Amino acid sequence: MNQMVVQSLEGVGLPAVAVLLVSALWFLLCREHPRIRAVGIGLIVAGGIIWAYQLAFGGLTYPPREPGQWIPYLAALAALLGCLQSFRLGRLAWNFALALATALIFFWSQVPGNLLALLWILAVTIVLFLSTVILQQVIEDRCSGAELALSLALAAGAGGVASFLGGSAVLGQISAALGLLLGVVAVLAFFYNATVGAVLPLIYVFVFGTLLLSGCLFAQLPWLTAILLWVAPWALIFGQRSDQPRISRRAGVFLLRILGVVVLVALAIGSAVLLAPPSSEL
Amino acid sequence: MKKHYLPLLFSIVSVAGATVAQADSFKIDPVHSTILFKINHFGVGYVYGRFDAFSGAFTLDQNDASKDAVSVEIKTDSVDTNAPDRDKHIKSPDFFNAAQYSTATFKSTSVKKVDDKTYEVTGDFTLRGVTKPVTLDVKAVGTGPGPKGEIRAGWEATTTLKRSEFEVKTFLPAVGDDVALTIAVEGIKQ
Repeated sequence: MNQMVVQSLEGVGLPAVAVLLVSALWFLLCREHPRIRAVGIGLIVAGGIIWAYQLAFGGLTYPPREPGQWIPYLAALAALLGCLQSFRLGRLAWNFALALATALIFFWSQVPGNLLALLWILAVTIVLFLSTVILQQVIEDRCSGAELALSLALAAGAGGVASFLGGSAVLGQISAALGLLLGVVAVLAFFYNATVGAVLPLIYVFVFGTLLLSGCLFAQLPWLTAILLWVAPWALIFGQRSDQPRISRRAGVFLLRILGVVVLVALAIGSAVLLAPPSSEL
Repeated sequence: MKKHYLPLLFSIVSVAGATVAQADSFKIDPVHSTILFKINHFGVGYVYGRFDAFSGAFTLDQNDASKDAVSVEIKTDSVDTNAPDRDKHIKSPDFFNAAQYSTATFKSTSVKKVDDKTYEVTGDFTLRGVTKPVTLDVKAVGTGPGPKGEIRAGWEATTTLKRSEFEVKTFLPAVGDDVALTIAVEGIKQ
């Protein structure tokens, strides 16, 4: 098989297998402790993202000089902040600070000589901050753990395909890895009928946000595709979660609930196919 | 009698000046210059590419090569490998990240004369925001008047970079780490 394809599959698959094994154990151990479970799942997924990044880019860059190079650091920071928030330590203030920091990573260097960059900083900060509120509070209250994790997984996985179509195989690989890691957590959350907590959405917002912005600004990911992918999990705002104890009944409601997310993700992929030039083989 | 020799003396000085005098400055003529690279592909072949947009200048001191200097600025967005899709990929954050790092530069720090036609030019090469020292093996091709009478000097420089040192590590080792670079320039005396 093509050596680059093997590398990409390893880059996505190895972290996913590791996260599957460790998360399964963690779900089992923390069945009765949702807060500790959420903290552990967040840290495990953040570790998986950092490993996936290392496999894709051949290591971490310190100090980071490009927005994309901040991804592993943002994953770690979001996980740590999420852990603090699990113990009710200043969720909104920290989220706003992290949203602002992420916006500055992208646009701070452009502020001298380009005041429009300030508008970008403001816009990105608001979008990221509101997204954390929506995913951590509104959707989390209305979703089961599996619904939330799967919706994020679908968006991130589709982001991998879209980024690849948009000309960046590496951003695509990391996004696909993020999608698979979240998918693994979704499967476990479904079978354990457990919540995943507020750490996971926080990591997702800042890692996936950085991936999409990098794709739009530095590769050729269409903005329309990025926006559709970003709002796809918001479809879960509609309706209520199902905590049916029986798996078969839970699965039915689950599929219905996830349909809106699937439609938005399908539209995003369609837009990427139409708008993004085909990627190449090196 | 001495007066009769003066015009002859001036003529000799003029001819010498028409070649290369002390510390002459040259501007790279992009129309007659090329920047090429080649990189191994899967261990079975080489992919060649070039940069279509670049600029630069060099200074030549006839008497003291250590005073020579050269600087080149390459537009990363102008990479051309005869495959437009691949070029887009090379410009992406996977490789050059041309939207953020629009140029790659070389600025000499020292020049050592090996023989009349060969030099070793050491300098700082910056790619994707990473600066590393690089030594170019430089051969003098020729010096003389161009079609409009302007004085031209031609050089060909070669070196091999390790792209991983510049944090361009995507698809290693399937796409090789060593990048052979050839900078062939004609400069026009200013």
